[in-house]
Amino acid sequence: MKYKAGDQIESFRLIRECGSGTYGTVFLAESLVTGQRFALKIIPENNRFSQRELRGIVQYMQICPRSGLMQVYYAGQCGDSFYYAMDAADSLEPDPAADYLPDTLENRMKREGRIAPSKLLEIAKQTEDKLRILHQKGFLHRDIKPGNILFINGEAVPGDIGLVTGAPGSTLAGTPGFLAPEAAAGVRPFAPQDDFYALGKTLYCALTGYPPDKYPAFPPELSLTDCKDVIALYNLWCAGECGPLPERKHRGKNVLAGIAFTAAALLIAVGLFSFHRHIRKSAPVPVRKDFCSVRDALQSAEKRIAAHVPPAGFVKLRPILEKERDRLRKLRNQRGREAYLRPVSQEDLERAARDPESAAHSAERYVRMKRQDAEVAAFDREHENDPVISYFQTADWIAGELNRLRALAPIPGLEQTDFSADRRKFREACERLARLERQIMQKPPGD
Amino acid sequence: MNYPTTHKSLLERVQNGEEIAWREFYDRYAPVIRFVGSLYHFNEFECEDLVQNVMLKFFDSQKKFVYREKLAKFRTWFATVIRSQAVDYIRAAGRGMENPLSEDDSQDPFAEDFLQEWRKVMLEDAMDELRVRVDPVTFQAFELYGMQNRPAAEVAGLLHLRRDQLYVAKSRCLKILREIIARLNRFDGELNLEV
Repeated sequence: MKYKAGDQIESFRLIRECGSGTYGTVFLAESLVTGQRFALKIIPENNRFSQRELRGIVQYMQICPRSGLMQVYYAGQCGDSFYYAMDAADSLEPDPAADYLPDTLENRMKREGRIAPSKLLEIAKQTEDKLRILHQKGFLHRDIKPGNILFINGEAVPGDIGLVTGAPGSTLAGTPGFLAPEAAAGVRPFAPQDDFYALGKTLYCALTGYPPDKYPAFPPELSLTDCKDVIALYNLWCAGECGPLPERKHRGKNVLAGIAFTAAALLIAVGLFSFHRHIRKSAPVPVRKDFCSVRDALQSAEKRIAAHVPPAGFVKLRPILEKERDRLRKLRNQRGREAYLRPVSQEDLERAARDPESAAHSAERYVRMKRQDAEVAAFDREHENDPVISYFQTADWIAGELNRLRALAPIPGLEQTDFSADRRKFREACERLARLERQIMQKPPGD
Repeated sequence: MNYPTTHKSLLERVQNGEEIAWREFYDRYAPVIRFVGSLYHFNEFECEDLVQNVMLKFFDSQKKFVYREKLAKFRTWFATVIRSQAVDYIRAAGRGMENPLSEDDSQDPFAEDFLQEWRKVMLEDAMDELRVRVDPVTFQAFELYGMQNRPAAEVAGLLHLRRDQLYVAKSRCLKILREIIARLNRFDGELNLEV
């Protein structure tokens, strides 16, 4: 049965239709008993999504009371449909009795155009808080977008909870453009950070007035100074992070701060003098010319693994690689921090005072290494989207992998080599493996 | 279908009846149609009518339409559709035919203006392609610093980059953009796009 304004469902009278979509129709309704206004969502039972939504709503009703989230007060059945009553959004119209336009971020954008950065930060904070509550309770929203950010009593809350689910490893749902690429591609199930990704895209749309697919294009007429906090926030969330924005470091706010910073940097440089050998060892050495051979070696290693693991037990390599990349990245960052940010000891200062020339040399070396590190970072960034992941992680991983592979298939002449330490031998092994691989590939099956 | 533009995939998605692709298509090409309407001295409402007519025409014909690269470029075909719709509109409105329509319908009096507007669309296409080819921070660095000429310090601070990284991002994006534009120019010799 199709409902329209004026109809009555149990003790609710439908006042006006607010919107309809794939999943059902939402009405502004009034309780005939209390006179209170609600948003009533009616979902036909023959709708293939109805059972899923009903399950989600039942779960959601158990966690929403006194949580600060949008409340669902009642769920019931009427004829061939089920419905639930929830908080109604404020009205954007000055006289809600005469006309009602739900106060959503989307409607605000339609009415006002771009949203002011200061307002947007407030909205982001309020929505973020609600999302974190939802996630803490083990739920995912899965459909954050401007149309689903409602304002109830002036406060932003994630609305349209039709896709909310508490199921771990939830399936793909949501709105294109607001879906994280990994979730949309089915690489992994929907996760909490995907809600934040969608919130990031929502902020982007509200700030720039552009559609989500335009991210990260920025309108030339907007001021960066005004928008920087919002940009930093949506960049953080769209990068797959779901943490809060770190405190900004206001370096060099005045001359004294600048001097203090420079002095601290010099002290660290001097302090590093006694540890430069250690730094040399731990700092990655750029050998970018070998990237192609590393790529080949990786492919070869993949094939080698596939050749030695029975087809039935063959695991997809990509997730393993990604996991390994993350582990190595963390390890490298940790090493870098330990090496560069070691507190300056009294001994370091004394040594620097005794031998200023060496201290200057050490400072110079420190700068060079920082530059080298920047090169590596730039290289990593450049190959961030490369299917073979970034260079050093790949090289390190392959070296380790070659060491492991050797246990399975001996590489003549290189039995005792530690590939992680010897780059030349490593390249040699890569080439040999590639040759071996070609030979294996050329052999007829069953040979 | 084999449209030889960077938005081949968009056109394919349109042909498959994807709603979002339609919206994208509309957003991308509606300004061009409005621009052509303005060349024919259409007012705002007439321009909107023209946009609707062209879109409907495209919607009707896109299932049957098979593009043959050797016969015409998408630009030429699209220009013809817009022009024929504009002419139909003028005729239906019973306007005089003195100007801007010439006696000979095969000659487009606004070919050069249309090409100029099309260049803007193609540049946008190139920027879109660049956007998906580099990571967001690199693109932002290039757009804010390289295209919009915002102060380097401000952009670097915003994106947590150092100046040298900013310059690297700019030169890298410029290189890719030049490649894309060279490819577009190779395909459509009349475009003569420049970075």
